[in-house]
Amino acid sequence: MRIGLIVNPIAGIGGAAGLKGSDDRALVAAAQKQGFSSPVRQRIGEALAVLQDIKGSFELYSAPAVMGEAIAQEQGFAPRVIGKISSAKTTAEDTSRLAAELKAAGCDLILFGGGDGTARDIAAAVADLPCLGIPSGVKMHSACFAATPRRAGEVVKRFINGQCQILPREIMDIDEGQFRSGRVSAKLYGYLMVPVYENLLQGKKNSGVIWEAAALQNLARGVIAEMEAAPVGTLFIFGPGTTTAAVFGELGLNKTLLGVDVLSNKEVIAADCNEQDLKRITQNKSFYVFVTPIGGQGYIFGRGNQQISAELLINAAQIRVIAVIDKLISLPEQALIVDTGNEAVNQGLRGFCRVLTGYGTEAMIKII
Amino acid sequence: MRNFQQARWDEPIIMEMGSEGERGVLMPLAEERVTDAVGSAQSLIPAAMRRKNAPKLPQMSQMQVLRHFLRLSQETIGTDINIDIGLGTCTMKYSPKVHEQFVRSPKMSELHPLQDESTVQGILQILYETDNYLQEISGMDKFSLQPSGGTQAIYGNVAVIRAYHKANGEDYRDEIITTILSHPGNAAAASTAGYKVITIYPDKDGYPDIEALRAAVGPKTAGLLITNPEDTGIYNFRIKEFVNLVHSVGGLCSYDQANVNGVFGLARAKEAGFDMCHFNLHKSFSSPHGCQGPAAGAQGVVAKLAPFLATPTVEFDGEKYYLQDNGEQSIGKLRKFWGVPQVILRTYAYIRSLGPEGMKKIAELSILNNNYLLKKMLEIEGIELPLAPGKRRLEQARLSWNKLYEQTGVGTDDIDRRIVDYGFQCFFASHHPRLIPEPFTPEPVETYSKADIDEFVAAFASIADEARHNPELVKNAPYKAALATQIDGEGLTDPKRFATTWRAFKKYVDK
Repeated sequence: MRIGLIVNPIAGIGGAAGLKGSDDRALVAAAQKQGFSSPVRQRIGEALAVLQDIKGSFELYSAPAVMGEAIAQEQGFAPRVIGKISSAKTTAEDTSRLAAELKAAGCDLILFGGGDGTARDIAAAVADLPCLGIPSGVKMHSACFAATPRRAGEVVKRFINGQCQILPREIMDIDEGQFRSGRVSAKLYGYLMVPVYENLLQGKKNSGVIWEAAALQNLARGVIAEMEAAPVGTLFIFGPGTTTAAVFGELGLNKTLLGVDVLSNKEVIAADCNEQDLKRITQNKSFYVFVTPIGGQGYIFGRGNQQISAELLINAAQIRVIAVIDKLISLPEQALIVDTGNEAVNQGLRGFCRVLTGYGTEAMIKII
Repeated sequence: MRNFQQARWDEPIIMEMGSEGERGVLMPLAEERVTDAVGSAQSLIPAAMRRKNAPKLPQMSQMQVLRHFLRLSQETIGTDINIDIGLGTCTMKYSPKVHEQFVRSPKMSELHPLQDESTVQGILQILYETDNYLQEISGMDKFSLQPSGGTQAIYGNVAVIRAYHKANGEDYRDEIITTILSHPGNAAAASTAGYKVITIYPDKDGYPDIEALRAAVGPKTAGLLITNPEDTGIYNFRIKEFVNLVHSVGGLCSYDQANVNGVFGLARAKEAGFDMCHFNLHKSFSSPHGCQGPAAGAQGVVAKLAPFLATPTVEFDGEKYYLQDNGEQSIGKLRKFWGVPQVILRTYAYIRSLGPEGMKKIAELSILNNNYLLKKMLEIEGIELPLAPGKRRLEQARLSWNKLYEQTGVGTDDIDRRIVDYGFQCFFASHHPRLIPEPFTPEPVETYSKADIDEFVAAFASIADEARHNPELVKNAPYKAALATQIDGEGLTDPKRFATTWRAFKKYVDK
């Protein structure tokens, strides 16, 4: 059994920087200058760590240097390196070429770290080879990613044991330019063959589903009542989504649909913030965080709202998950998922959570 | 299979019928001697209450009115004319017709609620003894028969919860817990009473998640409102643990027994530790549902909560029956006078005619019928029984047409429209939300025979077959019903588009 590893070393860098993606080289370079770094190294590490105890049952083949080799070595693997890269500034072409080389080297499965863009590059080269994504990008609308890095490791274990079905899964991507201007239009780019074991994979994201307007308005009023009951001077951070936008709508305000905005006294004091903006605005202030899960998936942190970082969450006076009931019951196993990048923060959030579903109504939903 | 064809009269709404001056009865003028003594009829009405203009009522003869309503009756499919198994959670059993004779007897129909107690001892005895029977059935210590419906009884129980905590100086308790598969009337009643409502979802085995309850209870817990078995027919075997958990933090527990058909004589609220329960007397106790009433919800409580019950209650001092005012601690009145005694009379007749053994038989037969129905239904390709796999259901079940939908594109709403072409009324899919996809909730109560159940299943088997061979046939149904067109459902849910009175409708049309 040969498992191939390929990593997009800049995946996810646009998340904490509030860039909505990492496809634009100039923006990424600017983010790197400001001190933002990619979470990919840690995420691939988490996935590989799960495989430590079955090291002997497979051979690890890896793309060179920053594209896989380095992280594998950090985790104590001695991978066989396939192919070459000419510079530390890797490109989409490198990803495609190395995926093809891993396939040619006889890999049974390619495990890749990145987001939708990386998935597209791999699909272009190896359409029929089983591939599995370790979620490390900003945009992950495709259905080829495991729900968390750890679960990616679990799926690989099942794959090695022959317990997985290999099924075609959608490769979706959205235009980052449009995403920045507040419009989601996910496009289907093709399919990857993905090992599937129960619900360990991230479900295909539903975009543009319109929830019952009345239920949303009721929920918006519930949120507003909670803001009114909060101590004077409290700031309210609102994550992306149509649910949080409905709260703003009820107040006659405009919300950045896919960004993070901050309210104080029912007024927008900062729009479309990145992680550093949020840290600066909330410094020495009491603040609540309102987020809604991604429909059909259940992520409350770590997908599309990476600006609300683990470090920020540690200081929040309240973290409030809001969702209408129909959205909750559409979630796989009716559970919420956290993937903040900080295992201690994830662990602190896990367990039963009171999700606000309307004015004065809550549902007990598990965070996993 | 029947070759069913419903009457189709294309009947107008009564407000559009009749003609100027047409009358059902020509009322004679009062004799002069009478008006001389008491004045005109109009003068008896206080001036401020007199209409300035006559109401705009349709002007019609008796024959026209009779014909109109008989035609409408042919365009409905009610419990007495079809095999009404599809309307699960409603407990559509046979309502014995002899009960109607009791209710229509002048001994009942001529009673007035303001008569002196000494002249109404008979109906007071019936109310008092019904209270006693319900105590025996539930294990509770006292009932109020005042609520005029199930959800009003739940509201009454919520009001008792509030009054109890207030009396103990604990009115900071502002949270009520319920489950997503309990009747939504529980969440609604608690919300109406001003409580925050916390909802528990099923665990992976299909039972209400006890770990979620453990995480939900606390010093702010006022009470638990729960149905068991839930809408799914699944009996929560941990019910006593649920009750104990809520008790451990000082909350009260109320058992929604609107439908008690599956547990009559087998299990009681008391033994599970509940403080309160309620029965819809128009469901398991056979009184007709009445389409928006009048119905009755009996509200029962344990002794420590009896002082909080709605006032008045009916008591007996060994010689005579009397109405007792429950004083300051009572939650007050839920319905004017004594509630709906006609429904209580039917309930009384039902309990007396069956006796304890007969009532236990109701539960046994309805469970047997349901399990027979499920066996036959699950032989149909495309239907499934999600949640709690392998576990038996009690008196009803929530099935799913999801597999058929995925295979053919025909879903539960399509089947619901098609089933009326077979001479069955629309079935009940699910309370909101549809936790189970493409849901269908049948309830074959004890009054249906094996032949009835077989006929019911055969119709669904036929529709499932149609879905595979001619899905458009099902999707475009109905064809043979009184109304052979599909209704735009949004008109029923969009407040801007529905009208509940003729006047509102006219306004809408004029716009």
